[in-house]
Amino acid sequence: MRIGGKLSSLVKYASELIIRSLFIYGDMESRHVPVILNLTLLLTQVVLVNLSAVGSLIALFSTLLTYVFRGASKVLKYASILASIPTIWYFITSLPFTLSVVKSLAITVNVFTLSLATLAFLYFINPIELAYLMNRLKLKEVSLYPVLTWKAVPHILKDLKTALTIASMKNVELWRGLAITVVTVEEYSQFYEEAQHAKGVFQPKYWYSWRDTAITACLVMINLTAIYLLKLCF
Amino acid sequence: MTFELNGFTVRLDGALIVNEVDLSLSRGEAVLIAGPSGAGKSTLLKSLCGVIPKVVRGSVSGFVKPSLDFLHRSSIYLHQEPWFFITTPYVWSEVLSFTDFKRLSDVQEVLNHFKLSRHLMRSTYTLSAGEVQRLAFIIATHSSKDLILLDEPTAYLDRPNADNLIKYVKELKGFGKSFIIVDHDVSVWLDVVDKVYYMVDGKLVEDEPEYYSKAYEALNDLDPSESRDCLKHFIFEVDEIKFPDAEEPLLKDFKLEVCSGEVVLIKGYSGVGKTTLLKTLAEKSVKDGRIKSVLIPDNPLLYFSGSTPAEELNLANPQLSSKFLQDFGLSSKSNIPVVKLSTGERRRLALASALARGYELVFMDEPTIGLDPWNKYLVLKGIKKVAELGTGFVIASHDEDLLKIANEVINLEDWR
Ligand SMILES: Nc1ncnc2c1ncn2[C@@H]1O[C@H](COP(=O)(O)OP(=O)(O)OP(=O)(O)O)[C@@H](O)[C@H]1O
Repeated sequence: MRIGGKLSSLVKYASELIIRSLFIYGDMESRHVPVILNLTLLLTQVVLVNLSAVGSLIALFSTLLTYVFRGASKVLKYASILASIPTIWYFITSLPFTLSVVKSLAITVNVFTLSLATLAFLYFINPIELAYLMNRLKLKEVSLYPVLTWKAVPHILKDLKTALTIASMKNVELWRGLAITVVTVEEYSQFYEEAQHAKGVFQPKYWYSWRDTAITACLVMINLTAIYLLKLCF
Repeated sequence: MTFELNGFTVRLDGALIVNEVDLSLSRGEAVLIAGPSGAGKSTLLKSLCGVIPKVVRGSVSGFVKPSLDFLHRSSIYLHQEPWFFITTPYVWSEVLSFTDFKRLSDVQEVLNHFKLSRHLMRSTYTLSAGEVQRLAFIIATHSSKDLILLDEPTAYLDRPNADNLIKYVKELKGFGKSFIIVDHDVSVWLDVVDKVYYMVDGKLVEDEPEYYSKAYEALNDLDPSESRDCLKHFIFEVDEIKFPDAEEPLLKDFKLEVCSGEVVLIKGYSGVGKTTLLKTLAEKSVKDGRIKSVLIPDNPLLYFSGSTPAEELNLANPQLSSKFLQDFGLSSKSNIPVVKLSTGERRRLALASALARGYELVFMDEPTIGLDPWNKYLVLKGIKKVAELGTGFVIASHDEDLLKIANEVINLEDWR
């Protein structure tokens, strides 16, 4: 039961981290940047990580700048802790293969950077923009999926936390808390289907923020320059 | 929007749920349908808007003028559980994507009318239950549809917010919108609706069934348990509750004292912080570890550890499980899955389980939401019974009927 209790706290903590690093903050200007630009930024960071150790450090720096310059410094703490989870796992599992702490550390920096950059991408992505674009591309049917996912995931995580709190209060096994969350989600999907069916037509509207688009474009330019210089030098 | 139903009948899994209903509605009219849980009210609404048979399997028959298809196209149905009606992650996007509003300033204005304007950019999942209900109502009433089907639209609202919503329905009738409203509380709608019906066993009747007066009588007879010596004292102190994305704390320097066997009601307007406080107290209690306590959330399903009532109570106290089932009127349901229980049954089962587990303190969120008067009476009686056996209760609710069993009332508005 004590291990169960620890595991339960861990799952609750991880859910809270996901909520805080992706969902809790409402909409803001920095989420009004074209998704293609956000994707390009992520790709340049991936390329930098793959280039060299210096590239990795530049990518890490670029990711940190993304959080800071785009008004998400508050999220950085939670995203960093979340990104550390796969990082620590990689560090430990890579040691027997590399047999070198330095080499393992290098891999670790890469994994951390990529995780953080991916979290930044997910944080700044706006599901309303995805729905808006899908609607314009005549993909009306599927345009509801990104928005519903962004709406439902934190809702479910919140319920998971409640169910686990109750399971520990009742001193029952962790899996019982997880099982009732699954049952609840099944009920939710039925309710969502019913409620969404009889609602009006979905016509997403969206706008772009020039200021934040310009900041993101600058970050992309810096990364592209770094890629060019690194390729030139090495 | 004018329509007429004659002999309108709905069957689900072969069972007759709506039985030969006759109903007509003209443009700008509103009817209210009350009635006990399980009478078929929601099924009627769902079949008018097409959820049945398009999403939920069932058969619909009878005469519909102009046509059933026309009804499907002209109606919007606000689900009993407003969370599921909300589609998008942000408040602004929800309103702009599903209504005729074109500009953010228009959205801001309508939100303002429902005291939601400061939530324009918020994530919808962080809204309180009453805030979600108001947002869902805005969407339902500002779409292009002319027939608006509202399933318990005031369940999560405090009195002033409910009155504001009801007044709005009256205004919209003037613009030609028609309404069918399902609600347990008839009196609050009398000024607005053109006709009141009761649904009993799938049939619509005009006279108030005896069931109602019996339930209200029973509710009125409830009173708080007599105060006894305080055998155990529970003290909670909360320095501050602040959300990471909020500028101001929700609550500061809050202190609560509960005695064993006492029912403490935390009340206040929608969005004041009742649920948040209750969850914070429950978490504090878990961390403290000295008090044997449990939380029954507003969705009671999340409370259960067993898949059936019998299993839930066996896990708690195998010797006495059948006695508890009997005491809480659940004997006939002992082996059906908990998901198949009605909301009232789920709440009673959670209470039975809390009693069987011998908790010293139970935190309960909105225990009477969505219950008809008789089920509400049964739940309140259940709480009182458990309290009389020595369990303390901290209950968060806006429902005035809880005052009937509360030994102490804390108005959170005084703490803001
Ligand atoms: N993450 C968050 N950031 C900012 N505000 C939040 C957040 N989560 C909740 N709130 C706000 O805190 C307030 C209190 O919410 P809570 O659910 O506790 O209210 P409540 O009193 O239970 O209301 P109701 O009766 O409508 O259920 C609400 O205004 C809600 O919008």
